Amino acid sequence: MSILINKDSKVLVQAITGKSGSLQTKVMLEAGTNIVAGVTPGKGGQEVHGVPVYDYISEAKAAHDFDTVICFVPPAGAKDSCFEAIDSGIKVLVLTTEEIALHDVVEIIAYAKAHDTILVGPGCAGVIAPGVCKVGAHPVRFFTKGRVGVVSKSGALSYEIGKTLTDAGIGQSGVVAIGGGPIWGFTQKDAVALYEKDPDTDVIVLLGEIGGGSEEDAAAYIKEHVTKPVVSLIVGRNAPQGKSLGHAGAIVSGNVGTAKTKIAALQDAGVHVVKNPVEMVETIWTLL
Amino acid sequence: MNLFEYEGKALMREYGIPVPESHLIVSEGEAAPMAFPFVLKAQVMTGGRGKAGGVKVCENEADYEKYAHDILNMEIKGHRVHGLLAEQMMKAEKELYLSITLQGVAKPTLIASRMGGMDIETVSKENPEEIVKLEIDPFTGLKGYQLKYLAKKLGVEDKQDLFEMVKKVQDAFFKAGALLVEINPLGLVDGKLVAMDSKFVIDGHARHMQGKLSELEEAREKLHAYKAPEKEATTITYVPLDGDLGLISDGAGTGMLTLDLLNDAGGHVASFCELGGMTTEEVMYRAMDLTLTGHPEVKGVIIVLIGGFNRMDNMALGITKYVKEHDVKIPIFTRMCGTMEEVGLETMKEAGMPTYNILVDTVKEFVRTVEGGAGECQS
Repeated sequence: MSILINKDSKVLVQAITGKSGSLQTKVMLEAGTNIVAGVTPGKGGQEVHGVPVYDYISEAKAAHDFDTVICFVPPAGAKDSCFEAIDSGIKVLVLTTEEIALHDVVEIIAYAKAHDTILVGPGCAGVIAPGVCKVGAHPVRFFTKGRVGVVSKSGALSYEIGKTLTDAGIGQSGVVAIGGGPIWGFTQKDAVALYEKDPDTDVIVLLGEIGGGSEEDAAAYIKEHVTKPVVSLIVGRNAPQGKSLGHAGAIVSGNVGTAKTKIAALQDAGVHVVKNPVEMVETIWTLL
Repeated sequence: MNLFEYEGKALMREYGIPVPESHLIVSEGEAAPMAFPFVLKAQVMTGGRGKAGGVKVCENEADYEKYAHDILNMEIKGHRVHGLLAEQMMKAEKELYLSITLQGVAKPTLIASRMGGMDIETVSKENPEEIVKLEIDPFTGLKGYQLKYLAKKLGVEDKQDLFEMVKKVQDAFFKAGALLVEINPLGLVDGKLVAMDSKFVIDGHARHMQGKLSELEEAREKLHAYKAPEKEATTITYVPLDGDLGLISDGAGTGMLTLDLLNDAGGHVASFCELGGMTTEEVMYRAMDLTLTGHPEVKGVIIVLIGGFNRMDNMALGITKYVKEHDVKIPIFTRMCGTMEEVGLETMKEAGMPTYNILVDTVKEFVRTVEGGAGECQS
């Protein structure tokens, strides 16, 4: 078991015939993901790496069961594609697309919530359950099966820490990258809550970054509800004020969103806050 | 994109929001555009212009000449004044605050207060009970009960006028794909609400607004002492800092981690460069160019790559091509792993460029080589 996905997950890929969609489909299949169908309007009837392609999700649904969708649709069409995915009654939607207009993101999040679909993203690398399957862009080589559950905003940082843990001989139960923000469907707090309940996770790793208040929200939740040990690394301690460093959400304005306030909130919640990957490994070894 | 007041007010007019009559002035010596008295307001991309002397009442020609000269040559909080808005004088019986925002919040949120005309951050700190916050459902807009509650909290007599104003602001917010529409103050003038100031921020990713935004950008060319900021055609984020080490990464999170590690190791970073969603050979080449030419003092560059969507074969081509074409002599340290790393590492090897695998070790070695420092992570 992992969070969000498991060996029984049946996956549909939106924009499966596109450059990202087809490449990532190949990698996901190699990682053991059960991809049952793909969708690209106008490309119905084709196959991508052996996966049948349909024009619409309703057509795919007539022939296949699926509970998870990963979306590679470009920004202009992403909102409508997400509505189509959510209307099909799925449990989890992983939205990888970046640079979607924020008003569209707001609508997608509200629609997913109203229909009980967990929306991971937008602009995210998705989720991997090492050794089981993955619904996202995580390179399999950096991850290994184990009992540490990781959540990150940044995709690259989740690979980096996955690699660090794997190099040190520490496996992961799941690794989720939720996207750079500034708004999210599935949050760090949501991930922590799922890892707390997950019988295959012993230690939770919370990777955070400057900007916004989602690490503080997670800290408040941990303080009240989490019994498992949590280790956290907050990046961007040395970022300049008022400038975004690549993630729209990673911007410090005034006293809001600084590394200092996040670290203080996490420490107050009993979280082990570390300064770098070396300290992270050392700390996790004492907790496993 | 942040709009100047004059741009925001023009948009508000289009959306039917009542604003005072006003005219943009871009140079000294322009004839007074309306009958005296009027207000002259600095057009500048920062707040606090009133306190800085950027808002003056002109009673006559002499006032106008003097203030136009003074304000046009002003810098407010480091921001150049690029024009003046001559605006009809209005005496407000009451000054309210009204905004709808998507900045720093998870859902569109209306924020309002009876204490308008002041810095809203200050009101929120000192008089939190004076702030009304209402979350807006994007599918329904503000509901009737929310509007009535707002009228009660603001103590407004003419509720219908308030409802119309709020609905128009909401309409403007959604139609313009705005991240922020802020009116401070929202004046009550002769019993009717008027937008006396305007702060408008439009989402650069709102595709239906692209035409409008380019139109506004073009029109800015006529402004006083205005130079359009250079536009990056790629998805690269490049932020100059004040050290001497160049940093390039293929992810924001790893970039920020590396920035912290470099600092902890005693290094000083000259620039932060993150590739963003586009990760072709050309984008990597561009990142090298920005980093090496953007800062003349750069003594070495660390490139941190961990490919998921990003392919290392493309990255290696971009790096080696740039180094070869520009005969780069300073140390270039590349940490390369992930998708297609076998091909990328081979390309780097052929070009005689060193590569590394463990990030922490790469950072230590890089700082030690370039800065001659201890290169140890302080903890």
